[in-house]
Order: sequence, then C-alpha cells, then structure tokens
Amino acid sequence: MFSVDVGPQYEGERIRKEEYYIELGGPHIPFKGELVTIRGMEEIEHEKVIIIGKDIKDVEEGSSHPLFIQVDIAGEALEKDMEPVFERRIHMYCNYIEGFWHMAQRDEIWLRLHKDSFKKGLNSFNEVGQILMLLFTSELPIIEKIQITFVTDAAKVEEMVLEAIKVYQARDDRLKGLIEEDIEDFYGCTLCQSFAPTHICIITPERMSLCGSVSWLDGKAAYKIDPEGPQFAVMKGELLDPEKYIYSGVNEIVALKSLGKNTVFCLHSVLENPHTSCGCFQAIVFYIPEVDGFGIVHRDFVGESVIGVPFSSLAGEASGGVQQEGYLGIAISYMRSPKFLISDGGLKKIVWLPKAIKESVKDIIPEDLYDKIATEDDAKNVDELMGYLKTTGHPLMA
Amino acid sequence: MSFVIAIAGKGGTGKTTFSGLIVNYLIKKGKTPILAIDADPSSNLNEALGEKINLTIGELTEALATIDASAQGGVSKIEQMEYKINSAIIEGKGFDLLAMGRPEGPGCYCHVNHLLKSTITKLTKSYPYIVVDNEAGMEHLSRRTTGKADLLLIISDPSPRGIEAAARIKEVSKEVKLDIKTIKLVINRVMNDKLYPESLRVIEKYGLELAGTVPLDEAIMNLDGEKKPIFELPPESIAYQRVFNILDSLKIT
Repeated sequence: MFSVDVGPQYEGERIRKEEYYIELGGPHIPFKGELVTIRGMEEIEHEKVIIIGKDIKDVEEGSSHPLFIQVDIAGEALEKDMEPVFERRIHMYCNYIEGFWHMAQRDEIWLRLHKDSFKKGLNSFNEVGQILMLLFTSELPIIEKIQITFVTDAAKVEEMVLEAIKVYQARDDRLKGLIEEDIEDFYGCTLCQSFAPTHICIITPERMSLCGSVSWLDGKAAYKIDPEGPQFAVMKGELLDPEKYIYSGVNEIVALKSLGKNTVFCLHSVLENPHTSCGCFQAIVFYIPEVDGFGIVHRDFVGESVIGVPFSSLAGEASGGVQQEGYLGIAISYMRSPKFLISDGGLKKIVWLPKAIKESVKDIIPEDLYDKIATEDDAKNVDELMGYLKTTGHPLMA
Repeated sequence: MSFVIAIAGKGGTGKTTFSGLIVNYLIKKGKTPILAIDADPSSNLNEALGEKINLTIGELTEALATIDASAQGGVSKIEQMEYKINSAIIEGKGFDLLAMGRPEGPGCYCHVNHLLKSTITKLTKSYPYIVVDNEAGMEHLSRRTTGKADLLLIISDPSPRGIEAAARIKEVSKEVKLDIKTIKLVINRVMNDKLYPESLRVIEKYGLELAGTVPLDEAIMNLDGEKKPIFELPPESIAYQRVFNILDSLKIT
C-alpha cells in the first residue's frame, strides 16, 4: 500500500547525518513548526494533502529545509483542549514510518528521511500525509475529517510559525492558570527514596516538587512516557478537609509509599501533618513561635538565618522523609502558588526572607507587605526581628 | 544490543588517544555507526577525533535544572531533554560524538540526571558500537549513561604505582555496581617492550588480566604535539599496529 513499512517498531531510531536524504527543521533552521487546529466540518476537504513549496523529490540529497506541518481536523465531538494532545500524535505517527525520524514539538521540530526509504519510493509529502491521515483516523475515530498541509517555502513557514507561537503561548497561559480543583490527577515522585526512603513528593499544578524540577506537567509527561518510572499518577480522590487540603487519594499513596510511616498530608501546611521533605529542597520554611510567623531560607544563603542556625542545620531537621511540624522543604516557585501555605495563612505570615529570595518574588508580594518583611539586613536574631516587625507595623504584630 | 567499550585510566596515561584509536579501529573494520562518549571532563576526545564541541551535556542539564518551573511553558523537561541531547550530538564520518562535560553545581539534579540516563539509554539503541572515554571514578557510566559495558579497558603507564591505580579503578567499577562483562588492563608507553618485574608482581597481586602493551611511539607524540586527529596516525606506526592487534584479540562482535 505504501512505499515503506509503517509501525511502532520504527520509533526512536535516530537517523545520522550520513544517512539522511532530506533534513527538515532542526537546530540549524531558524523557522519550523507544527500545529493541529480544529476546524468546522465544512472548512476542510477530507484526506486532502496540500504542499506549499518544494516537495521531497525536488530537493538535493543531503540538504536541510524549513518545514511547517499544519494538520486541520474536524468532528462533532472535538474540543479545543484536545488540540495539543492530537498535535503530539504527529511526533508519534511520523516515527512509525520506516526511515522517518521526528523529534520534539511546536516550533522546535526536527525531521530526517533515510536515504533507503527515499530509494524505496517515499519521495513525496503526499505519501507522508496519506500515512499520517490513515493513522490519525484509524486510531482516533473522533476525527471525522482531516487535511494536512506541508509547507517548505521559507517565507511562508516563517509566517506560519509566528502565528503558531501565539497559539502555543495561549496554551501555556491556560496551563499556568490551572488549579488543583480543575483536575483529578496529581503526580507523585519517589526519585529521592534512595536517601529518604519514606519521602514522597506530591505534585499538583499548585505545588511542584521540592527540588524545583518536576512540575505537574513534567510529572504527567514522565508518567505517560514511562509508567513504571519514579513519577506516577495520584488520583486525588475526595477532598476530606477543604481547609487543610487533605485528599483521600493523596493519603492512600503516602501511606503506601512511606510503608505506613506517614498517613496524612495536609498539602499546604507547615504546622499540621506537613508534606515530608527529601533533602533536595531549594528552601526551607521554618516556624518562629515568638512571632507566630514563618521564615524561609534557601540553599545558597550563607551564614545563620534569623533563628540563629544556618540552612544546613535546618535541612537536617526538615529532611529525611519525616513529618516534622514547623519545618517544610519547598521549591522557591511554590511561593508563587495561590495555595502557598494557605492553611497556615499564606504570604502574610512570612516575616523573614533572605534578600535574594525577597527580590526574586517581589512581584507576588502585596505592595503594602513588602517593606514589612525583614531580610538579613534588617534582623539578625529574633529580638531584632520583633523590633523590626513592630516598627514597620507587620500585620502579625497588629 | 550495542557493544559497549569503556576506557578508563588516570590522567596522563594516554587513555584518550587510545579511545580515539578504538574508534578508528572500529571504522576500519566496518563496525559502524559508533557513538563516542567523552565522559571525562578533563580530557578531550573530540580533539583526538578532530571535532569541535558546541554544547556539552553538562551545560544543557544545568540549563534544564535551573529553569524556574513557574516560567516553564507547556513543553515538559523530558521532551526538551531529548531535543537538546540530539542537537548536542556531533556528527562525524562513521561516528557521532557526545561530550558529557562538567558535573553539576549545587542544587538538585536527581530529576534531570534521571531524564538524561533514560534519554541516553534510548539514544544508544541506534548505535551498534559505543566507546566511552571515562574519568577514573566512572561517575558518568554509572549515573548518567548505560550503566553497563561489554568491555572495560583500563589504561596504565608501565610503573608499579600506575598499575596499582589501575587496580583501584577496577575495584571502583565493582563498588559502583557497574555491569561489566570483561575487564582488561592495557599498559601504554612501554619502552623496549619490557615490563618491570615489580609491575608484573602488582598485576599478579591484584589479579589483573593484561590485554597487551603498547610501545612508546614517536608518531603518536608528534600527532599530539601538532594537535592532529588520530585518523592521521599512519597505519605503519608501531602503536597503531599494536593497538589493532590487541583489539583483534578482544573479539569485539
């Protein structure tokens, strides 16, 4: 039926420089991209392939070119949110084609066609398009109509990429606005269990891993790619306590993965059943009883924190997968979360921050609070801190 | 399955030149494509192979590990990692080259190292032969790349102390739980084809298996001195012939 074989067995085979007939996109081509767009039923012609610019057979062997792949689909049950999911399938299906290599996504795509596959007769985007359309419609019957456009004309590709970037941006903005209530799946990470055997990170759109490297999106992608790996789905289950953010699904997985050591996580609290900490956290939140507030100190902070101990001693208290009330390891960007320590009072309970952190999160601290939070320049011990908070009129002193 | 040849040895033993010669040997024998991995930040396999490095894996993991998650777009790190590693590959004739670069700075690299390992493991499947030039601790081999090797060649100078260092490398490979099928010693820069009796005793004491010795060769010294790639070493050079003989005897399949 086709000039080359098609199937999942060809996935992941890199095609080397000496082996490709044509290279499309990649690090040396400034503009390249792909996009799936949902259209009205009447807007597209089913199973049509359009080629704008040179076709594969028109180029010199071993050359590199710009490429934009526009996949237009229509169907009664299709929803806008599905576009990125279908777009990821371009990568998967291209790699099903023998001797056709597809890497990455959005405006970073990189493709190569093997000389052998070209010799076998795969010399036109028309055939590539036919294969992709067959895969899309047979695996995703929700798609009723599909039309694919391959663009190699440099000026046209540039124009389409610049338009597509706006679409990618809009998707990212939606993702950034995502809250725990919007979704059912949280993710867990046990990568650090080698040195903190009872620790598990619960990752939500509003609470990333303590090390700052696994976002909710990363957890989701990693789980999809490697379901047996250290990141896995945690169905949040029932919200048992809407003030302490205790979820039944979280508790179950925490108990299971900590071998029964911990059974309850209050997702956004330092004071009661706090999330455990591994050892990799970027910063530590610590409770200061004299002022009933919190200080935060990060890994790069040199010297003693306001309570007279350095990061390293606090890290000893907080780490190791033990629930230690009053101590919590965090990623600095957790401070940007709308749910940041929401059960304990959130940002307005923060009384001391190293200057470096304070400046890096300036945009999220309310203007009338900013100058009331002390730094190492304002207070070196709790007595000085209390004086500072009183003088500046910090809300906790009111 | 790829055939993985790892090379280790302390600095100054000529291990990088040896690694380059292995790549040359495999190309000459038609055992291609090869993935050459420079896993020793203080050596420069790329120069031995006549290639220039644009980006090391260390640099790209650093960049990924320090992304502020709240500023991250809708493309996950695992997806970004794959593209970046593929762009960092230097593509030569018969071989591709990946430079690991410096190990990480402070902060947590658990996640990116995990991604790196799985991405490199996936990548290596495209190459029937892999040559890894390691630093003495073999950190990259154990933590960031395949974790196993069919053949580990430990390169030493002819001195008894040098061979003791080679024996320690063998121990390290066991401690870090690397899965290695065969471990052999190669003694490099030997004068007049003779080993010191004390060196022989050390070899015996630690139970090292000697794959062969390579004579001190002016042709190699000149090549190094002029910073020329290993491919310019004349086949009649004595070191070239000896290395090829040793590799013939090791039955690389």
